[in-house]
Amino acid sequence: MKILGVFAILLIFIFLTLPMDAQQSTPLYRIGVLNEAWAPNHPAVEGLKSGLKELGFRESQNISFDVRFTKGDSNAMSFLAEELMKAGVDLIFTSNEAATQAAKIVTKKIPIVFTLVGDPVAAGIVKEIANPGGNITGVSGLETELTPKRLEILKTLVPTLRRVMAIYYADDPSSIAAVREARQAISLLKIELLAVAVRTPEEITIALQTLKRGDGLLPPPLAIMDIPVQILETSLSDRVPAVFSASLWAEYGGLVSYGSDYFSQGHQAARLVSKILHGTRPKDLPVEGANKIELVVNLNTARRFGLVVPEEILLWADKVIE
Amino acid sequence: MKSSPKAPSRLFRKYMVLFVSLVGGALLTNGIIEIYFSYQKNKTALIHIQREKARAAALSIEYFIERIERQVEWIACSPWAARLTLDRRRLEFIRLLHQIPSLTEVAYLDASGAEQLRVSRLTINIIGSNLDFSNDPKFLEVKSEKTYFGPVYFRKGSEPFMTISIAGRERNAGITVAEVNLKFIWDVVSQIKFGKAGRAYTVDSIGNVIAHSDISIVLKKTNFSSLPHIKKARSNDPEVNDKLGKDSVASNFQGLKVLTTHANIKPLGWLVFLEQPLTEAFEPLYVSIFQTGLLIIAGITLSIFASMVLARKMVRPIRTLQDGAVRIGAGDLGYRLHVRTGDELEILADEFNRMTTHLQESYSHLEKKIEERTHELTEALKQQTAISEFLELISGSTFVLEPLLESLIKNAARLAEAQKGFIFILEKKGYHLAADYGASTELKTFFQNNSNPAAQDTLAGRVVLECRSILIPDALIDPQYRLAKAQRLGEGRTMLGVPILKGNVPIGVIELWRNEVKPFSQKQIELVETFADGVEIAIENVRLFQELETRSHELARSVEELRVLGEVGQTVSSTLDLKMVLATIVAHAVDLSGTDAGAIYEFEETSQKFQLRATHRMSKEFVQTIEKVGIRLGETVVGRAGLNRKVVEVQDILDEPANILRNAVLQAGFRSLLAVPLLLEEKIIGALVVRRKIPGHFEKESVDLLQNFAAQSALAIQNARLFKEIEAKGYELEIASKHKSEFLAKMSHELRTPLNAIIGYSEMLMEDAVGLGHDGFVSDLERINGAGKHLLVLINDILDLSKIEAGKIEIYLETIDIKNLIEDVISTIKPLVEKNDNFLKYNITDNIGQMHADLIKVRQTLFNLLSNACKFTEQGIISLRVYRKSINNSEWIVFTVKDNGIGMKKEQMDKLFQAFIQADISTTRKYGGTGLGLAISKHFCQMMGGDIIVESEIGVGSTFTVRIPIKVVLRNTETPSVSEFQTEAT
Repeated sequence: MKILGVFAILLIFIFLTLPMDAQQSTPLYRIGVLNEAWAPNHPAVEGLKSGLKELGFRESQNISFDVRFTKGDSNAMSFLAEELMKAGVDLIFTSNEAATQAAKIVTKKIPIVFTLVGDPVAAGIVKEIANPGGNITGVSGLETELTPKRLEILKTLVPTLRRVMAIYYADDPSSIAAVREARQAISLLKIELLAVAVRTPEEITIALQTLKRGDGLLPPPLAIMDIPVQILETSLSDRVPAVFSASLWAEYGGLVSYGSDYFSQGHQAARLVSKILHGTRPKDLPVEGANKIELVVNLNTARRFGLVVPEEILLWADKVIE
Repeated sequence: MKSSPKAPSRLFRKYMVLFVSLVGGALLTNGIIEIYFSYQKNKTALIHIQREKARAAALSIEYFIERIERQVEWIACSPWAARLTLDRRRLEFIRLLHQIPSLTEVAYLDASGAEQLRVSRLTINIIGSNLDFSNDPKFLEVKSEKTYFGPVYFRKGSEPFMTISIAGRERNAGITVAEVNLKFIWDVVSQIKFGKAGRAYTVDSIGNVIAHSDISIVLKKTNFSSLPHIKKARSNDPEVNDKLGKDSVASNFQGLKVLTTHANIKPLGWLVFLEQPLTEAFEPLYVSIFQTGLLIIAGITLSIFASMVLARKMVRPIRTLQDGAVRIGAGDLGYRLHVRTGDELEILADEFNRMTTHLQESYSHLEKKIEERTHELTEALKQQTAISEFLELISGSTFVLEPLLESLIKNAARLAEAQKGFIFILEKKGYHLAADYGASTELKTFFQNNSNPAAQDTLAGRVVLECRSILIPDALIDPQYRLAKAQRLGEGRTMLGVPILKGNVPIGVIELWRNEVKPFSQKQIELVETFADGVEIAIENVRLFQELETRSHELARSVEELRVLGEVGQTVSSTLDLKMVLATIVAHAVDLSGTDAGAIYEFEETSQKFQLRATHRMSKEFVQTIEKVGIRLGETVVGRAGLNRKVVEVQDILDEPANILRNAVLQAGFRSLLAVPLLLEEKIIGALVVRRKIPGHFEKESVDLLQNFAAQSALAIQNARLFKEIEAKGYELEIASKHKSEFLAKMSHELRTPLNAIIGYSEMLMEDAVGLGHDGFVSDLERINGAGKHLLVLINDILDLSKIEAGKIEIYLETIDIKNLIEDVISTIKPLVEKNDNFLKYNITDNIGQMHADLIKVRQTLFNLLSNACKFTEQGIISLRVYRKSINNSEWIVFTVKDNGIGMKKEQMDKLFQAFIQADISTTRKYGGTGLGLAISKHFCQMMGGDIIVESEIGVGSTFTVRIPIKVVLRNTETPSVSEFQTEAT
């Protein structure tokens, strides 16, 4: 009798020590998305979803997205940001500085992962690239520092370029920084830069009306007030060469774009999101520079503009649109 | 299967424990050793594998760099490239950037180190800047045919970059410098997976992480050089360089325990580490250990079970044996063990059973023996008890023989299992049936009437004849037994006769009869013989006791007689009343002799008649008659006794010739009498008579007693007579003394008067003679004077002495100053001292003080002694010492007078203090003196409570010592009687 008892105890002990897969309840992570898009399917968000999928986060299985977009309304940003905060999301995913700033103001606790921020340090979003500090990290699109290169590309594409008009939202720091960068390159490129800061759509229209023959257009990296859209329209309608920061625009008809892909930024950011969801603190995650920088040329637009694409550009281009 | 609940199953437990510990121990040891070795082996194997993987990882990283290098190299070194124009080169550079995503910038320096072309992905291309990099390592360090790999540096503090510069091979060839963004190595590194969680990372020569699966670590510009395993890996310590030294278990950057291996990328000076979490790395090992552990446990459990079973199996037969032994030990000898194990235990059990069987047999055998023995012992005990009871009886205080014998025979018969018992005592006239048991009256009568049969016919007779125990098996058929009637009456068949022996002489027989033919056992015969002894003892005892009683009575009587005699003696010696004494004697004599009356006569010499002095129980008439008659010697019984001086016994007075006295006696009622003469030295002084009212003999004891009384009476009479004499004499003496004293007193006065005249006149005449010058007369007158004085002294002394004798001296006590006294005495004695040319010295103790005594007497004593000393010493020394002495708490004054004179012999000393005696006659003549002095002195001293003693040696001298109490206390004032004085004087 004694022995059986001992045996029973032994069995129980064995059972207990066998490594059992803890059937953990799958927590549902809620990611709040904040951007200026017109639609929820901002490419960055898509890129994020794709990246998260690769990392094991499936939508409606262990992750859900709460997307807020402003449709270009800058006033709505802070309001939406607050909403997200109140909604108690586990993480806020932003695109562009505006959204990031809004989110930053609204919460210091909820981790924020940004994309499409040209110069996070200059924008005051993070302390430094290697040590962001705070609760914000993300993927920088390098829009700001690529600005000179963009101008160079435009110049290479349009050798006759004499002046470039840069229209930007007056209060956007990254745009301001981009313009500053641009200015440094103009001497080397032998072009003029006309920086126009606008605040209202009317001003954009006014600025665009002042375009002259042989001018180029440099849209800001942000889509605030749809400046890029306006520029695109104008570019296409008036056959003004413009260089964009994202291939998106080139696909819409923009002559050329040089910059990091929104999708791939989102995709790259997914890694960061995943780490944060698994417990890493945002301040321990350095801001990553976008890995993929593309040169996209719309040959149709080039032909319409009567431009001959130099070999150099073709050599350089990652993608051409025909 | 369970054994008795109380007995602990030690054996079972022992076996079990032994088995389990053996098997378990083996398993455990085996397992542990296995695990240990497996661990080591696995670790080594893992490390090896991992190291290989690390090498592979290193290789792939190296390849990554190398690929870039190759491509740059072509642009840098190829002959075609060497001849490129700047513009062309620019395009080639753009192409290169396109091809190599990690390339951020490519530049071309000319042979002097000036930059000629820069194509960048991020910044504007610059052509012909001529920036001088001639002092830059990327220019300086590069060698022909050797690529320069610059140290890793970080842009924006985050992204790691490396400069690769390759020099063209041709003369004056430029240097192509490429900036590689090393973060793109992540693609390679992140692909390097080892196991589930094994990751690789690369560390540059200063420990910065330049590639890591977690790119964030790289971008944070983390430095791992502090980690010990990194340090170890980077060190060139040969000790650490051993096989596994550098690769081992360590804690990684995040503190996780990992198994780490590494490989070198030599040209770059980088280290590629491959780390796998220890838990993962050793997982298989852990699993194996766990499995082994499980196996061990399972093994142990199994062994426990097996051991239980085995132990049970082994213990059961032993248990059976144990239980069996317990039962057998408890006494259950019928129990048999059943052990069927087919081994030694079974054999043991069989042996056990055999042993038990033997035990059973021997037990039953023993039991039988014990029974028999017990029976014997019970029998013996019964007999012994009977004997002891019987001895008790004998030694008890029953001294009446018959009941004792009856008790004895009863016990004997009962014990011997006889129905009838008889004790016959052999007497002169035959066998006396002293006691019986179970006999009918007829049988008893028969025996009483036939007490002297022929010896041969009866059992008792035969027994006595042969002086031994005789057994008749069946009296009915016994040819010798003839007392058929007795046999019939008593229904005796088997008979036992045992002699009662006193010494070796039969004095009786014990007979025991049984109603059936059943022989008496030897034990029973012995028992009866013991009883026979007992009977003898009993008889003897009774006899002795009776004798004792008789003796005691006699003793008592003697004692009484002696007591009375003593009393009588006392009476006789205590009183001088003769009549009373005689009356007592006669009373006692009569009482003690058991007679009825008695009388004592005294024989008067004068009248030659016996006078009646005392009577006892004699009537007045009888007394008167006797007194009237008077008994002469030879007359009557008394007279006869007195004449013959012998006891006369008259047994019946009627036998005596009739005379007045006889008739008187008869009339008084007496028939027998005894007369005992009272003799004193053969002279008849009386007679004692006792009378009895019945005629008969006077026992010797009575006669002796009466003779004794007679002697007492004689003594009494003698005493009385003597006393009378003494009284008379004393009276005469007293008269004489009185006369003497009177005479002396008278005479002294008569004597003194003329003596004084003589002394006085002689002195007068002497003076006259001297005055007149008649010297011739002086000497004669001196002589007259001297003689007169001497005579006076003598008379005084005689007076003193007579006074003393008459007891008329009195003591006058007064306080005396001793010194004065002595000086006075000495001055007085001086002339006497000088007379014989003696020298007197004296010594008085200082502070001698005073004494309280009769001064005159002391003085006289001292003077007497000193004068004696002077007298008996010539030309000698006389010394007087006076001192105090304490004797027995009383204070004495001691005066010693010592001289070295003529001394004395012992005989002389003895007579010294007697009156009128000097040492001897010759002394008196020579030395003068009355011879009274010492006697008087001694008496004086004694009167004061002191004494004089003398020590002397003839020819040497004498010492007289006077001792007087310092404070004389008068004794009671009775004058010492004559007898006292006499005893004192001796």
